[in-house]
Amino acid sequence: MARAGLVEVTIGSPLRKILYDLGGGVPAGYEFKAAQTGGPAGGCIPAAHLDVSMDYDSLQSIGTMMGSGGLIVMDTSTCMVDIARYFMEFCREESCGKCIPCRAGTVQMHDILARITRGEGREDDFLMLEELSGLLRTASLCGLGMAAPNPVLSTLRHFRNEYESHIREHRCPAGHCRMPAVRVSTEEVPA
Amino acid sequence: MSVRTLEVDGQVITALEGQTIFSAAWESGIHIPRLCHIGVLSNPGACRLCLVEVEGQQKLRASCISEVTEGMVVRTDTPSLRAQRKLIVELLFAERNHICSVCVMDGACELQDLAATLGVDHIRLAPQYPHLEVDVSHERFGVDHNRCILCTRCVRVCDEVEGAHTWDVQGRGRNSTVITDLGEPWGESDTCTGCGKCVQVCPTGALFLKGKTVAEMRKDRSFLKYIVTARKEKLWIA
Repeated sequence: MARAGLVEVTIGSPLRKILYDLGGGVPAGYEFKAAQTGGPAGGCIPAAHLDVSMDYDSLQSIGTMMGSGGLIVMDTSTCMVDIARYFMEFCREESCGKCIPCRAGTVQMHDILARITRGEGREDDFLMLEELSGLLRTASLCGLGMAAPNPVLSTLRHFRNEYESHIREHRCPAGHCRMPAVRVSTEEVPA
Repeated sequence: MSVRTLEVDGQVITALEGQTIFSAAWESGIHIPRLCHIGVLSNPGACRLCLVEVEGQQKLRASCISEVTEGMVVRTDTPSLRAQRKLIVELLFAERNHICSVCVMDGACELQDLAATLGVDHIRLAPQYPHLEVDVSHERFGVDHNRCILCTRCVRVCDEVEGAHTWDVQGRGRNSTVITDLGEPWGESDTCTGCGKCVQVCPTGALFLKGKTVAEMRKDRSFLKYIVTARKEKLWIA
Protein backbone atom coordinates (compact mmCIF):
# COMPACT_ATOMS: atom_id res chain seq x y z
CA MET A 1 0.00 0.00 0.00
CA ALA A 2 1.06 3.57 -0.50
CA ARG A 3 0.55 4.23 3.21
CA ALA A 4 0.81 1.39 5.71
CA GLY A 5 0.09 2.01 9.36
CA LEU A 6 -2.44 2.10 12.12
CA VAL A 7 -5.86 3.62 11.47
CA GLU A 8 -9.06 3.69 13.45
CA VAL A 9 -12.26 3.27 11.46
CA THR A 10 -15.89 2.73 12.39
CA ILE A 11 -17.17 -0.82 12.19
CA GLY A 12 -18.94 -1.30 8.89
CA SER A 13 -16.53 0.76 6.78
CA PRO A 14 -16.07 -0.77 3.33
CA LEU A 15 -12.72 -2.50 2.81
CA ARG A 16 -12.18 -0.49 -0.37
CA LYS A 17 -12.42 2.78 1.53
CA ILE A 18 -9.79 1.68 4.07
CA LEU A 19 -7.39 0.48 1.40
CA TYR A 20 -7.83 3.17 -1.24
CA ASP A 21 -8.78 6.30 0.74
CA LEU A 22 -6.88 5.81 3.99
CA GLY A 23 -4.15 3.53 2.70
CA GLY A 24 -3.59 5.54 -0.46
CA GLY A 25 -4.30 2.60 -2.74
CA VAL A 26 -2.00 0.16 -4.45
CA PRO A 27 1.19 1.84 -5.77
CA ALA A 28 1.70 2.08 -9.53
CA GLY A 29 3.06 -1.08 -11.11
CA TYR A 30 1.36 -3.36 -8.59
CA GLU A 31 -2.00 -5.04 -8.78
CA PHE A 32 -4.23 -5.89 -5.83
CA LYS A 33 -4.77 -9.61 -5.34
CA ALA A 34 -6.00 -10.31 -1.83
CA ALA A 35 -6.49 -8.86 1.63
CA GLN A 36 -6.08 -10.96 4.72
CA THR A 37 -8.05 -9.82 7.72
CA GLY A 38 -8.01 -10.76 11.37
CA GLY A 39 -4.41 -11.84 11.92
CA PRO A 40 -2.69 -15.13 11.07
CA ALA A 41 -5.83 -17.21 11.55
CA GLY A 42 -8.04 -14.98 9.45
CA GLY A 43 -9.09 -15.52 5.86
CA CYS A 44 -8.03 -14.06 2.51
CA ILE A 45 -10.48 -11.90 0.56
CA PRO A 46 -10.23 -11.57 -3.25
CA ALA A 47 -10.75 -8.38 -5.27
CA ALA A 48 -14.36 -9.37 -5.96
CA HIS A 49 -15.17 -8.70 -2.30
CA LEU A 50 -13.38 -5.34 -2.01
CA ASP A 51 -16.68 -3.64 -1.19
CA VAL A 52 -17.35 -5.87 1.81
CA SER A 53 -18.39 -4.01 4.92
CA MET A 54 -15.81 -4.48 7.67
CA ASP A 55 -18.06 -5.88 10.36
CA TYR A 56 -18.25 -9.23 12.16
CA ASP A 57 -21.12 -10.80 10.22
CA SER A 58 -20.12 -9.66 6.72
CA LEU A 59 -16.56 -10.89 7.12
CA GLN A 60 -17.72 -14.21 8.52
CA SER A 61 -20.09 -14.69 5.59
CA ILE A 62 -17.17 -14.58 3.12
CA GLY A 63 -15.02 -16.95 5.16
CA THR A 64 -12.85 -14.63 7.18
CA MET A 65 -13.11 -12.73 10.43
CA MET A 66 -12.57 -9.47 12.25
CA GLY A 67 -10.08 -11.01 14.67
CA SER A 68 -7.47 -8.52 15.80
CA GLY A 69 -8.46 -6.06 13.09
CA GLY A 70 -5.19 -6.64 11.27
CA LEU A 71 -5.14 -6.15 7.52
CA ILE A 72 -2.49 -7.53 5.18
CA VAL A 73 -2.69 -6.58 1.51
CA MET A 74 -1.08 -8.76 -1.12
CA ASP A 75 -0.36 -8.11 -4.77
CA THR A 76 -0.27 -10.49 -7.70
CA SER A 77 3.27 -11.67 -6.93
CA THR A 78 1.98 -13.45 -3.82
CA CYS A 79 1.11 -17.12 -4.17
CA MET A 80 -2.05 -17.92 -2.23
CA VAL A 81 -1.05 -21.54 -1.58
CA ASP A 82 2.24 -20.36 -0.18
CA ILE A 83 0.53 -17.74 1.98
CA ALA A 84 -1.77 -20.46 3.39
CA ARG A 85 1.34 -22.56 4.07
CA TYR A 86 3.02 -19.61 5.76
CA PHE A 87 0.09 -18.99 8.12
CA MET A 88 -0.21 -22.72 8.85
CA GLU A 89 3.46 -22.76 9.80
CA PHE A 90 2.73 -19.97 12.25
CA CYS A 91 -0.16 -21.92 13.80
CA ARG A 92 1.94 -25.10 13.95
CA GLU A 93 4.63 -23.26 15.90
CA GLU A 94 2.07 -21.57 18.15
CA SER A 95 0.18 -24.78 18.96
CA CYS A 96 0.67 -25.68 22.62
CA GLY A 97 0.42 -29.40 21.92
CA LYS A 98 -2.23 -30.27 24.46
CA CYS A 99 -4.94 -31.50 22.09
CA ILE A 100 -4.26 -33.88 19.24
CA PRO A 101 -6.21 -32.18 16.39
CA CYS A 102 -4.26 -28.93 16.68
CA ARG A 103 -0.87 -30.41 17.65
CA ALA A 104 -0.74 -33.02 14.89
CA GLY A 105 -3.28 -31.53 12.47
CA THR A 106 -1.37 -28.29 11.89
CA VAL A 107 1.76 -30.39 11.18
CA GLN A 108 -0.06 -32.44 8.54
CA MET A 109 -1.80 -29.47 6.95
CA HIS A 110 1.51 -27.61 6.70
CA ASP A 111 3.12 -30.69 5.16
CA ILE A 112 0.44 -30.96 2.48
CA LEU A 113 0.58 -27.23 1.64
CA ALA A 114 4.40 -27.31 1.49
CA ARG A 115 4.23 -30.31 -0.81
CA ILE A 116 1.81 -28.49 -3.14
CA THR A 117 4.13 -25.45 -3.33
CA ARG A 118 6.99 -27.80 -4.23
CA GLY A 119 4.96 -29.07 -7.17
CA GLU A 120 4.30 -32.43 -5.55
CA GLY A 121 0.60 -31.92 -4.86
CA ARG A 122 -1.93 -34.65 -5.49
CA GLU A 123 -5.58 -34.55 -6.43
CA ASP A 124 -6.62 -36.08 -3.10
CA ASP A 125 -4.91 -33.24 -1.21
CA PHE A 126 -8.09 -31.17 -1.64
CA LEU A 127 -10.13 -33.73 0.27
CA MET A 128 -7.56 -34.22 2.98
CA LEU A 129 -7.12 -30.47 3.50
CA GLU A 130 -10.88 -30.12 3.83
CA GLU A 131 -11.18 -33.10 6.18
CA LEU A 132 -8.35 -31.87 8.41
CA SER A 133 -9.79 -28.34 8.37
CA GLY A 134 -13.13 -29.73 9.54
CA LEU A 135 -11.48 -31.69 12.34
CA LEU A 136 -9.48 -28.72 13.59
CA ARG A 137 -12.54 -26.48 13.50
CA THR A 138 -14.88 -28.75 15.39
CA ALA A 139 -12.60 -30.84 17.61
CA SER A 140 -9.79 -28.55 18.78
CA LEU A 141 -9.66 -27.68 22.45
CA CYS A 142 -9.22 -23.92 22.02
CA GLY A 143 -9.61 -21.09 19.56
CA LEU A 144 -6.12 -21.41 18.09
CA GLY A 145 -6.81 -24.82 16.59
CA MET A 146 -10.39 -23.89 15.68
CA ALA A 147 -9.24 -20.87 13.68
CA ALA A 148 -6.03 -22.36 12.23
CA PRO A 149 -7.73 -23.73 9.06
CA ASN A 150 -9.23 -20.32 8.12
CA PRO A 151 -6.41 -19.26 5.76
CA VAL A 152 -6.62 -22.66 4.02
CA LEU A 153 -10.40 -22.74 3.76
CA SER A 154 -10.65 -19.15 2.54
CA THR A 155 -7.95 -19.59 -0.11
CA LEU A 156 -9.52 -22.88 -1.18
CA ARG A 157 -12.79 -21.00 -1.54
CA HIS A 158 -11.63 -17.83 -3.27
CA PHE A 159 -8.40 -18.95 -4.97
CA ARG A 160 -9.02 -22.62 -5.70
CA ASN A 161 -7.67 -22.15 -9.22
CA GLU A 162 -4.22 -21.50 -7.78
CA TYR A 163 -4.25 -24.82 -5.97
CA GLU A 164 -5.41 -26.47 -9.19
CA SER A 165 -2.60 -24.87 -11.20
CA HIS A 166 0.00 -26.13 -8.72
CA ILE A 167 -1.42 -29.63 -8.57
CA ARG A 168 -2.66 -30.24 -12.11
CA GLU A 169 -0.44 -28.02 -14.26
CA HIS A 170 2.62 -27.98 -12.05
CA ARG A 171 2.68 -24.22 -12.27
CA CYS A 172 2.56 -21.35 -9.78
CA PRO A 173 0.37 -18.57 -11.29
CA ALA A 174 2.09 -15.93 -9.13
CA GLY A 175 5.52 -17.10 -10.25
CA HIS A 176 6.54 -17.49 -6.65
CA CYS A 177 6.88 -21.24 -6.03
CA ARG A 178 9.92 -22.96 -7.45
CA MET A 179 9.25 -26.40 -8.81
CA PRO A 180 11.50 -28.88 -10.57
CA ALA A 181 11.33 -28.54 -14.35
CA VAL A 182 10.31 -32.14 -14.80
CA ARG A 183 7.52 -33.51 -12.69
CA VAL A 184 8.90 -36.06 -10.27
CA SER A 185 6.98 -39.14 -9.31
CA THR A 186 4.86 -38.55 -6.24
CA GLU A 187 4.12 -42.22 -5.73
CA GLU A 188 4.68 -43.06 -2.09
CA VAL A 189 5.92 -46.30 -0.74
CA PRO A 190 3.08 -47.80 1.29
CA ALA A 191 3.76 -47.67 5.03
CA MET B 1 -27.43 -36.40 45.67
CA SER B 2 -30.14 -36.04 43.06
CA VAL B 3 -30.59 -38.16 40.00
CA ARG B 4 -30.58 -37.03 36.39
CA THR B 5 -32.25 -38.80 33.51
CA LEU B 6 -30.84 -38.48 30.02
CA GLU B 7 -30.85 -40.19 26.66
CA VAL B 8 -27.63 -41.61 25.22
CA ASP B 9 -27.74 -43.20 21.77
CA GLY B 10 -31.47 -43.75 22.10
CA GLN B 11 -31.13 -45.42 25.49
CA VAL B 12 -32.65 -43.73 28.54
CA ILE B 13 -30.14 -43.82 31.39
CA THR B 14 -29.91 -42.37 34.86
CA ALA B 15 -26.92 -40.66 36.37
CA LEU B 16 -26.02 -38.82 39.53
CA GLU B 17 -25.93 -35.05 39.55
CA GLY B 18 -22.40 -33.93 38.78
CA GLN B 19 -21.50 -37.15 36.97
CA THR B 20 -19.87 -36.77 33.57
CA ILE B 21 -21.56 -37.91 30.35
CA PHE B 22 -18.62 -40.28 29.84
CA SER B 23 -18.96 -41.98 33.20
CA ALA B 24 -22.77 -42.22 33.06
CA ALA B 25 -22.60 -43.74 29.57
CA TRP B 26 -19.85 -46.14 30.62
CA GLU B 27 -21.93 -47.43 33.54
CA SER B 28 -24.79 -48.09 31.15
CA GLY B 29 -22.58 -50.10 28.85
CA ILE B 30 -21.95 -47.37 26.28
CA HIS B 31 -18.20 -47.12 25.94
CA ILE B 32 -17.13 -43.84 24.40
CA PRO B 33 -13.58 -43.98 22.96
CA ARG B 34 -10.89 -42.11 24.88
CA LEU B 35 -7.15 -42.04 25.41
CA CYS B 36 -6.43 -39.30 27.95
CA HIS B 37 -9.23 -39.93 30.45
CA ILE B 38 -8.62 -42.73 32.93
CA GLY B 39 -10.57 -43.69 36.01
CA VAL B 40 -10.38 -41.27 38.88
CA LEU B 41 -7.59 -39.02 37.62
CA SER B 42 -8.32 -35.42 36.61
CA ASN B 43 -9.34 -34.87 32.99
CA PRO B 44 -7.50 -32.56 30.64
CA GLY B 45 -10.14 -33.14 27.93
CA ALA B 46 -7.25 -33.18 25.48
CA CYS B 47 -7.46 -36.26 23.27
CA ARG B 48 -10.79 -35.13 21.77
CA LEU B 49 -11.80 -38.74 21.10
CA CYS B 50 -14.68 -38.67 23.57
CA LEU B 51 -16.38 -35.73 21.84
CA VAL B 52 -20.12 -36.29 21.59
CA GLU B 53 -23.06 -34.51 20.02
CA VAL B 54 -25.61 -32.99 22.39
CA GLU B 55 -28.99 -32.13 20.87
CA GLY B 56 -29.61 -28.39 20.74
CA GLN B 57 -25.93 -27.54 21.06
CA GLN B 58 -23.87 -26.49 18.09
CA LYS B 59 -20.50 -27.40 19.54
CA LEU B 60 -19.35 -30.91 20.29
CA ARG B 61 -18.75 -31.65 23.96
CA ALA B 62 -15.87 -33.56 25.51
CA SER B 63 -17.90 -36.14 27.43
CA CYS B 64 -15.15 -36.74 30.03
CA ILE B 65 -15.44 -33.17 31.32
CA SER B 66 -19.12 -32.41 30.63
CA GLU B 67 -21.66 -33.00 33.35
CA VAL B 68 -25.02 -34.59 32.66
CA THR B 69 -28.10 -32.39 32.71
CA GLU B 70 -31.72 -33.43 33.04
CA GLY B 71 -33.31 -34.49 29.77
CA MET B 72 -30.18 -34.05 27.62
CA VAL B 73 -30.04 -36.07 24.41
CA VAL B 74 -26.55 -37.32 23.60
CA ARG B 75 -25.24 -39.10 20.53
CA THR B 76 -21.89 -40.81 20.91
CA ASP B 77 -21.51 -42.75 17.67
CA THR B 78 -22.66 -40.85 14.58
CA PRO B 79 -20.94 -41.25 11.19
CA SER B 80 -19.31 -37.82 11.49
CA LEU B 81 -18.01 -38.53 15.02
CA ARG B 82 -16.64 -41.85 13.82
CA ALA B 83 -14.88 -40.20 10.85
CA GLN B 84 -13.44 -37.58 13.18
CA ARG B 85 -12.13 -40.18 15.64
CA LYS B 86 -10.60 -42.15 12.80
CA LEU B 87 -8.72 -39.07 11.62
CA ILE B 88 -7.49 -38.35 15.18
CA VAL B 89 -6.12 -41.90 15.43
CA GLU B 90 -4.47 -41.51 12.02
CA LEU B 91 -2.89 -38.27 13.20
CA LEU B 92 -1.45 -40.09 16.21
CA PHE B 93 -0.04 -42.93 14.15
CA ALA B 94 1.58 -40.49 11.71
CA GLU B 95 2.94 -38.28 14.48
CA ARG B 96 5.47 -40.70 15.99
CA ASN B 97 6.95 -44.09 15.27
CA HIS B 98 4.18 -46.46 16.26
CA ILE B 99 5.38 -49.80 14.97
CA CYS B 100 3.05 -52.35 16.59
CA SER B 101 4.91 -55.42 15.42
CA VAL B 102 8.00 -54.56 17.47
CA CYS B 103 6.24 -53.05 20.51
CA VAL B 104 6.01 -54.53 24.00
CA MET B 105 2.31 -53.66 24.11
CA ASP B 106 1.34 -55.33 20.83
CA GLY B 107 -2.05 -56.93 21.40
CA ALA B 108 -2.87 -55.00 24.57
CA CYS B 109 -2.39 -51.39 23.49
CA GLU B 110 -5.24 -48.90 23.77
CA LEU B 111 -4.18 -47.01 20.65
CA GLN B 112 -3.98 -50.24 18.66
CA ASP B 113 -7.38 -51.37 20.01
CA LEU B 114 -8.94 -48.06 19.07
CA ALA B 115 -7.49 -48.21 15.57
CA ALA B 116 -8.91 -51.72 15.14
CA THR B 117 -12.33 -50.72 16.51
CA LEU B 118 -12.55 -47.66 14.27
CA GLY B 119 -11.36 -49.54 11.21
CA VAL B 120 -8.13 -47.61 10.71
CA ASP B 121 -6.52 -50.02 8.26
CA HIS B 122 -4.14 -47.55 6.69
CA ILE B 123 -2.81 -44.05 7.38
CA ARG B 124 -3.59 -41.42 4.76
CA LEU B 125 -1.20 -38.89 6.30
CA ALA B 126 2.53 -38.45 5.92
CA PRO B 127 4.48 -40.21 8.67
CA GLN B 128 6.67 -37.69 10.49
CA TYR B 129 9.39 -40.14 11.59
CA PRO B 130 10.69 -37.89 14.40
CA HIS B 131 14.04 -38.72 15.98
CA LEU B 132 13.14 -39.55 19.56
CA GLU B 133 15.02 -41.08 22.41
CA VAL B 134 14.46 -44.22 24.40
CA ASP B 135 15.45 -43.73 28.05
CA VAL B 136 16.26 -46.98 29.85
CA SER B 137 18.38 -45.40 32.56
CA HIS B 138 15.91 -46.45 35.27
CA GLU B 139 16.61 -49.77 36.95
CA ARG B 140 13.14 -51.24 36.36
CA PHE B 141 11.34 -49.07 33.81
CA GLY B 142 11.87 -47.57 30.40
CA VAL B 143 10.32 -44.74 28.38
CA ASP B 144 10.13 -44.93 24.61
CA HIS B 145 9.07 -41.50 23.32
CA ASN B 146 8.38 -43.02 19.92
CA ARG B 147 5.24 -44.62 21.39
CA CYS B 148 4.10 -41.65 23.47
CA ILE B 149 0.80 -39.97 22.50
CA LEU B 150 1.13 -37.20 25.14
CA CYS B 151 -2.06 -38.21 26.96
CA THR B 152 -0.39 -37.06 30.22
CA ARG B 153 -1.80 -39.96 32.25
CA CYS B 154 1.70 -40.55 33.70
CA VAL B 155 1.99 -36.87 34.66
CA ARG B 156 -1.39 -36.93 36.41
CA VAL B 157 -1.05 -40.26 38.22
CA CYS B 158 2.40 -39.30 39.50
CA ASP B 159 1.15 -35.95 40.77
CA GLU B 160 -2.35 -36.85 41.94
CA VAL B 161 -1.92 -40.36 43.35
CA GLU B 162 1.75 -40.89 44.11
CA GLY B 163 2.28 -37.25 45.01
CA ALA B 164 5.76 -37.18 43.50
CA HIS B 165 5.20 -35.12 40.32
CA THR B 166 8.26 -36.63 38.70
CA TRP B 167 6.66 -36.44 35.25
CA ASP B 168 5.78 -33.31 33.35
CA VAL B 169 5.61 -32.08 29.77
CA GLN B 170 8.35 -30.01 28.16
CA GLY B 171 8.28 -28.02 24.95
CA ARG B 172 5.16 -27.22 22.99
CA GLY B 173 3.27 -28.29 19.91
CA ARG B 174 4.85 -31.10 17.95
CA ASN B 175 8.03 -30.77 20.01
CA SER B 176 6.38 -31.64 23.33
CA THR B 177 7.63 -34.66 25.21
CA VAL B 178 7.08 -36.00 28.70
CA ILE B 179 10.08 -35.57 31.00
CA THR B 180 11.22 -36.81 34.38
CA ASP B 181 12.24 -34.06 36.80
CA LEU B 182 13.76 -31.23 34.78
CA GLY B 183 14.70 -33.40 31.84
CA GLU B 184 17.21 -35.60 33.64
CA PRO B 185 17.40 -39.28 32.70
CA TRP B 186 14.70 -41.26 34.57
CA GLY B 187 17.32 -43.27 36.41
CA GLU B 188 18.84 -40.09 37.85
CA SER B 189 15.53 -38.60 39.00
CA ASP B 190 15.57 -37.46 42.65
CA THR B 191 11.79 -37.42 42.97
CA CYS B 192 10.83 -40.76 41.38
CA THR B 193 9.81 -43.26 44.05
CA GLY B 194 9.98 -46.17 41.63
CA CYS B 195 6.30 -47.04 42.28
CA GLY B 196 5.57 -47.78 38.62
CA LYS B 197 2.06 -46.27 38.54
CA CYS B 198 2.95 -44.28 35.44
CA VAL B 199 3.88 -47.46 33.62
CA GLN B 200 0.56 -49.09 34.48
CA VAL B 201 -1.67 -46.21 33.34
CA CYS B 202 0.20 -45.55 30.08
CA PRO B 203 -2.15 -46.52 27.24
CA THR B 204 0.63 -47.54 24.86
CA GLY B 205 4.09 -49.06 25.02
CA ALA B 206 5.69 -45.68 25.80
CA LEU B 207 6.23 -46.59 29.45
CA PHE B 208 7.14 -50.21 30.06
CA LEU B 209 8.62 -52.61 32.56
CA LYS B 210 12.10 -53.71 31.64
CA GLY B 211 12.56 -57.33 30.76
CA LYS B 212 9.44 -57.56 28.61
CA THR B 213 10.06 -58.55 25.04
CA VAL B 214 7.73 -57.76 22.16
CA ALA B 215 4.01 -58.16 22.92
CA GLU B 216 4.65 -59.35 26.48
CA MET B 217 3.64 -56.26 28.40
CA ARG B 218 0.25 -56.23 30.17
CA LYS B 219 -0.78 -53.41 32.44
CA ASP B 220 -2.48 -53.59 35.84
CA ARG B 221 -4.65 -50.59 36.72
CA SER B 222 -6.38 -52.06 39.78
CA PHE B 223 -4.33 -49.89 42.12
CA LEU B 224 -6.10 -46.77 40.89
CA LYS B 225 -9.42 -47.88 42.33
CA TYR B 226 -7.92 -49.19 45.59
CA ILE B 227 -5.73 -46.26 46.45
CA VAL B 228 -8.14 -43.50 45.53
CA THR B 229 -11.14 -45.18 47.19
CA ALA B 230 -9.10 -45.88 50.32
CA ARG B 231 -8.07 -42.24 50.55
CA LYS B 232 -11.43 -40.70 49.76
CA GLU B 233 -13.75 -43.09 51.59
CA LYS B 234 -11.23 -44.21 54.23
CA LEU B 235 -12.19 -47.67 53.11
CA TRP B 236 -10.05 -50.43 51.71
CA ILE B 237 -11.89 -52.39 49.05
CA ALA B 238 -10.53 -55.76 48.11
